[in-house]
Amino acid sequence: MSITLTLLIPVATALLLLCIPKDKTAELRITALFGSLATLAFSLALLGGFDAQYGAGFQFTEKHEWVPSLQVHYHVGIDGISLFLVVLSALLTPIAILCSWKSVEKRVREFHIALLLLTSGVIGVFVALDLLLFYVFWEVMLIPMYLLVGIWGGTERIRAAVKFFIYTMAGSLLMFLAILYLYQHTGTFSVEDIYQKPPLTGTAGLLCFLAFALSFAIKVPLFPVHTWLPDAHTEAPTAGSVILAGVLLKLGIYGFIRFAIPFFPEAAVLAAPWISVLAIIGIIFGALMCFVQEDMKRLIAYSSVSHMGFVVLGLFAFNEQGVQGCVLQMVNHGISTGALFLLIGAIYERRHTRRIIDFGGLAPVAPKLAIIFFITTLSSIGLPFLNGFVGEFLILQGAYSRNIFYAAFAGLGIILGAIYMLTLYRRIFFGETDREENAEMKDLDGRELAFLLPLVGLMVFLGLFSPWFTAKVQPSIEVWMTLLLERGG
Amino acid sequence: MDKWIFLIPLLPFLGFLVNGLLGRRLGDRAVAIIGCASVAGAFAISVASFMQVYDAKPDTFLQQDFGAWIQAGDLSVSFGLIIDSLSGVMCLVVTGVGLLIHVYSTGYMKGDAGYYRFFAYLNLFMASMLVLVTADNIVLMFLGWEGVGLCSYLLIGFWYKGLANCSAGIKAFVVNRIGDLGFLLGIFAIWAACGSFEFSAIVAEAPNIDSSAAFWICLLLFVGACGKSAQIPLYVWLPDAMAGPTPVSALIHAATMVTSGVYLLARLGPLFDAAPGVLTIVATIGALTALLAALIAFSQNDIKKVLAYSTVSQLGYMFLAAGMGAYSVAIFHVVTHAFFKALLFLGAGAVIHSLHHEQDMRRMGGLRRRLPWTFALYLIGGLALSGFPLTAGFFSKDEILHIAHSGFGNIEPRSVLWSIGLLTALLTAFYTFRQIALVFFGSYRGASEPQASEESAAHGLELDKVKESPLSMRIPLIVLAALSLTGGFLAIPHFLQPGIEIPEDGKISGLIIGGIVSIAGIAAALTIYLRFPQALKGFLSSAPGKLAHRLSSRKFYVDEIYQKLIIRPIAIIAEICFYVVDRLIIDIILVHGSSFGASALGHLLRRLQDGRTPTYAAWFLAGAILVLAVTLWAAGG
Repeated sequence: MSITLTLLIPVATALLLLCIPKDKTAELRITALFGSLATLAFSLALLGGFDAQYGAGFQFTEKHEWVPSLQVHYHVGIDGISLFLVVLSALLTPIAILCSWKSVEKRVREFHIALLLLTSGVIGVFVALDLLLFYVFWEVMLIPMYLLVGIWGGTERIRAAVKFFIYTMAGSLLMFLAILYLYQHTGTFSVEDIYQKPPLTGTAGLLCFLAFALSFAIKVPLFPVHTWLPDAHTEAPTAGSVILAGVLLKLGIYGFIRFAIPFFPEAAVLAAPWISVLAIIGIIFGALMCFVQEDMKRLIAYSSVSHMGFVVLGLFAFNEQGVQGCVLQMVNHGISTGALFLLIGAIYERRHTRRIIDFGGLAPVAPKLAIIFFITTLSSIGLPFLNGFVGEFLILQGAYSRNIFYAAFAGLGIILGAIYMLTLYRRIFFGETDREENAEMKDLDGRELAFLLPLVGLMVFLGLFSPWFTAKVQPSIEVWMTLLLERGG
Repeated sequence: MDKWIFLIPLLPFLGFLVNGLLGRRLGDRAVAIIGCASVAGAFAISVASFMQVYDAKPDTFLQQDFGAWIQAGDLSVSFGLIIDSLSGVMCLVVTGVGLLIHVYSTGYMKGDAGYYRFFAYLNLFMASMLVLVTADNIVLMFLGWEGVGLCSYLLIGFWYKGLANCSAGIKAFVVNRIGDLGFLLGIFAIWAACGSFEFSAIVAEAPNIDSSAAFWICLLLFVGACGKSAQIPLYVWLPDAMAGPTPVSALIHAATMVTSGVYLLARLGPLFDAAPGVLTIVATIGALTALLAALIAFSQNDIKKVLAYSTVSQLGYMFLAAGMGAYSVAIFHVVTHAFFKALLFLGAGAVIHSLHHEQDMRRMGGLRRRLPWTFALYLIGGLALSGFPLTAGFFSKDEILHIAHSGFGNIEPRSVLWSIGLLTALLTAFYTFRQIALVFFGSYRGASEPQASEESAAHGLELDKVKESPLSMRIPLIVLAALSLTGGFLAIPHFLQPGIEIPEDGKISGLIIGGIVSIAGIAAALTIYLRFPQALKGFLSSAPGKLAHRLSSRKFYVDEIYQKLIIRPIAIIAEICFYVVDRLIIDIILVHGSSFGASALGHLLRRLQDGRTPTYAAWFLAGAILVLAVTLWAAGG
């Protein structure tokens, strides 16, 4: 039950991989898989040991001096909000390794090292309670992601990787300046200490907020800084897309929750209407983009822009329903969009094309694929009984309480979402099986079912038993709301 | 009994799981038994629960709560079920008619490759519909609401090899989603106004809600009802939904799901009573829908399309009643309509089955001799739909017209809507017997006439090869026919609203007028189509006749108008957004523009990279000073 161990296991596994000859691919894969499963086990231990009734503050905290002269600490801990994001990250890593079992054959060792380091990096971001430590993880995790897209990606991978890198670096640099400024002002990098200090207000607060916000908005991604996402997603290998959609996009939201909003509440409240409007534009714009995509992976990438708009909207409603929906929907989106990328990856492995027009009539040929794809589609368009609905419902209720028109316009996204997802499904699975390549396509095998079925199970579980989730998050949200109120938000 | 009401939706759901997961291996016979038995079980429990509610004093109910489904802060939604007189009646209709249609389907779908899939979907539909009906809060009702929408989509596109079927399914789902957005916003507004989602709490709070809030809540909920119950302007999906197998049309698109909107209004009656403005809208939309759909039904050639428009039209009557505040009368018509419309659809299915999937009435005719059972049963359904005296439809429809004519409670008489309703009744009797004349009378046209419609599947079937359907399909028809004849004598309004005061004045004369209108319509249709077909042809070739026929048969061009005004513009906006905003403005001009600027700058800066360490050191120093300066400046400011 230690956060540090959860962080270190992937790194240790990566080091272990260095000791295995690089042509022993089977051993490499199995070692990486076990390492990632061990990480998952430790993260589940955190989940099991988490005390929802604990009250204020973080749990499982560890604090050690790191750079005493600057008062930088290795300080980690989790609350209900980061808890599930850590578990989600740890869950998606073994899935990413399993889905690459056959599709990644180039530089197998380096691939798994990059994946494992990425896992440590993102978990680090979620648990860091020291700003500088957070920033180190934030930057470190960029590199393996960049490599995953740039080395194991598709034909346009270099361009996509560079675009991804430039976009995120641009945001990071401004945020770094803001972090330094905040240090000047408060004399500490400790997140909990900053929470206790009087908040930055006025122009300085607004500028710092914007610096943080830009960096996080790019990660989310919020309209109009989203154009790196479709490229990165389309070119990334399946494993990369899964981690990207499942975890990396959540870093931006998490950054808003943990840092940008409570640090600068005055500015956050001031910016909230603008950000909400951008989120709503993103919801509708992203959905409209899906109408004209020829490549199914790119379509799902744009649908992420739309879905993440909902998540941002819920957060900036600044009420319990909206924030609760935001946290839940982050996890939901990781599960359902992750599953969609896995399914598209499975199709691509078989047919070596992702153009929607190349498909049709797959339902009778590959019934297991068809059923799982359908359930995932339903989860993605927010059908009650599955997870997506609960998140969207809370977000829209929260948005409605903030401003009726937010909910009305954001709601258009759920209509458009039904159109593009059901049309996509029809084009792939229904109609006559008129192409020979499609008629001979193989259904999902045991390995693929092994990583897809747990995700389907989670969709149903979170759809029916969401209080299990929200009860763990609720106290942390209450603390967060009080903090916001005390700091003048 | 209150310990067991959860089984009402759960049994069909288990049937869905078993048939869906194992059906392929179980074989058709086992699938049929599981499918029917699960619904029969739900029916039995419904009957038992209903009896308990019926025997007890008014305002008693059975309730069961299974804990929270959604929880966030002070917002909470529970898995709570309730059986009171209203949901009890609905449960009986849904499970009873549902069971008959399941039995019928065992024969109708025989030999279909997707047999187990069909029963799995049908069971899932039953489960969703029963959740919708028994939910004790509006969010759980929405779960059922979306669930039936999903099953409707799945079953319309059941034969998924035909892309047109799938498109009809998507159309149904999407049009419903438009209504659902209204419903959802209404739910949010309810929570804002009442702080609860439970029906009992909403109804208790209704008188205290301020009138503008009540207006918006009810209007938004009615938008949802318009989607699901196919009212203007959202009715366009229902006729297309006929692409599904006929038992589906009977169960989902006639007897049960499409009446959910009426049920919603009845469930929240006191809330709607607090919004008289919305009730006026409801009644007007209902009457207009009834008329419009009846006019379209006139000229349809597909046997199922006529029934589909007739369903839209009858749903309009139900909303007319609800809009008068007479929710129990609306539910009365829901019940009788479920009987006779299911009968008609299943009868049409029997005809289609006997003719090997022919649906075009121009290729039918004279079938009464070859299909005597089907004819007799269909005739009963037709009489009930036409409101022929003493049939089920006669009582329920005339009750609605009577209320519109005389007013109800606080609501004034609406003579305009009453006259529209009366005109529609005449049209209904006419198009129903036009259909019966075309299908069962005259001479058989299936073998001789060349392919009349491109969609028709038959290739000319000789009359002597036309055979009656199996017993499994006939028995449900007989039961439904009996109910269509007697259902009018159920005193549903008085059961649902004890102490309901339906004005006595004009009641008898209303019944007499209704009977006369019905008989007149029937007589006119039979006379024109059987005695004077030439006169009809003459009229249709005249200029006004042509215009009227074209407007009716092209459905007043509503689909085309939606296509031009809504769908096309959205597609164009999507293209513009992608190519102009996303690609050109954001990606090329802003991102690449700035990276081009950066790389131009880079070229310039490359001259600084001369490979000499001191130069680098100098730049490093300069950079460090710059960062420091910015930091200090920021710290000072």
